[in-house]
Amino acid sequence: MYFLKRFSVIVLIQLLILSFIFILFLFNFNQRREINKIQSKELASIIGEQASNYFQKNRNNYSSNDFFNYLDSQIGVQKLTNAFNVNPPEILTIYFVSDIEKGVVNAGVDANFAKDDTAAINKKIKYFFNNKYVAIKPFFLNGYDKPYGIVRIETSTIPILTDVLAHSGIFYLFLYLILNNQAFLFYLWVRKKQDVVLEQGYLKESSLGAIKIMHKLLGDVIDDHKEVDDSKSASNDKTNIINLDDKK
Amino acid sequence: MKFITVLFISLFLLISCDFLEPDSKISLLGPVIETVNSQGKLEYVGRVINNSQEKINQVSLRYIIRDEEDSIVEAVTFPISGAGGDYLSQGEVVIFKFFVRSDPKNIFNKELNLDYN
Repeated sequence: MYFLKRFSVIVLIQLLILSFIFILFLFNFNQRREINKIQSKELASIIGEQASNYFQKNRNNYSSNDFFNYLDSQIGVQKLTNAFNVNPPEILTIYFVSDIEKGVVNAGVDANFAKDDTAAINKKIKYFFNNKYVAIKPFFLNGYDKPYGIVRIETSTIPILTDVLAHSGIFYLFLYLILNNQAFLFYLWVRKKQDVVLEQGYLKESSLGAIKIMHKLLGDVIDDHKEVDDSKSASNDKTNIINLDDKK
Repeated sequence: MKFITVLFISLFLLISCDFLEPDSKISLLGPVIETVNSQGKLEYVGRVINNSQEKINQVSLRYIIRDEEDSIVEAVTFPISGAGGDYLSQGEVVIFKFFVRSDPKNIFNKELNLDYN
């Protein structure tokens, strides 16, 4: 029971330390994820602007290859993803509103062509959290109230997770060791402060009972040896008597 | 003894964490543009670059499409050939274009992987 109690206290302290480190990791990860969200939204706005300009000029004569070259000439493909450090968006999607309305594609937008957060296409639950972020921005052509199309950017948050672990893994390890050390020091400090109250007794009943039995046994052993000593001294007294008749 | 154990664990973690850093001899140059073509299929245009200082042989691009249940619906693998043949020379950029046969409405997740020998 004593060991079980000790073991459960140790497990509890370890869990406390690990949960603290996990919260710290989540904080770092969320901070990076928020930056990624802002970057994705900004990139979607830039692409949206460029798409408006491109489709304004090439509304009836466009191709994806031509649009790619246009983006490259206007802002440069390298610059497009330079802002994203570890998780540059792999796919940049341009959907026309006409295709969305016909139901050709599932763009993950609501009736106003804004991002629908509840849409299944905008989520990917793996490792117990949503590891996909989608930024959607509609783009317009001059003279139209309705958007001409939408820009959709998907980024994975898994590279952020591995990057946080790669850069802070050692820090978390040392934090774990230091916190364990601190917990041990705290235990020593608490242990030292416990004073023995003599008035109330400091031994358990069972220990006291054992001591009493030992005391009785020791007393009996001493008594037994006392009898032996007495008999020995009596025999010694006998031997000290010199019989003069024998000498004769 | 304890010090050596801690040192060993630290080194092990350090090496393990280093493995998490991606190796990028071959990578996509900018994002891949996804559009709907005239047949109502998803079309992709992108560029691949050889970032290394050496010639990379047999480069291929694998595109995996998954449905709502995360099951693979379609997987496309095609070679990326450079100007000189079945390899990409140092700093070479190759443009690729392809489309997928699956119904765009059933496409929920997409993965792009670059492989090489």
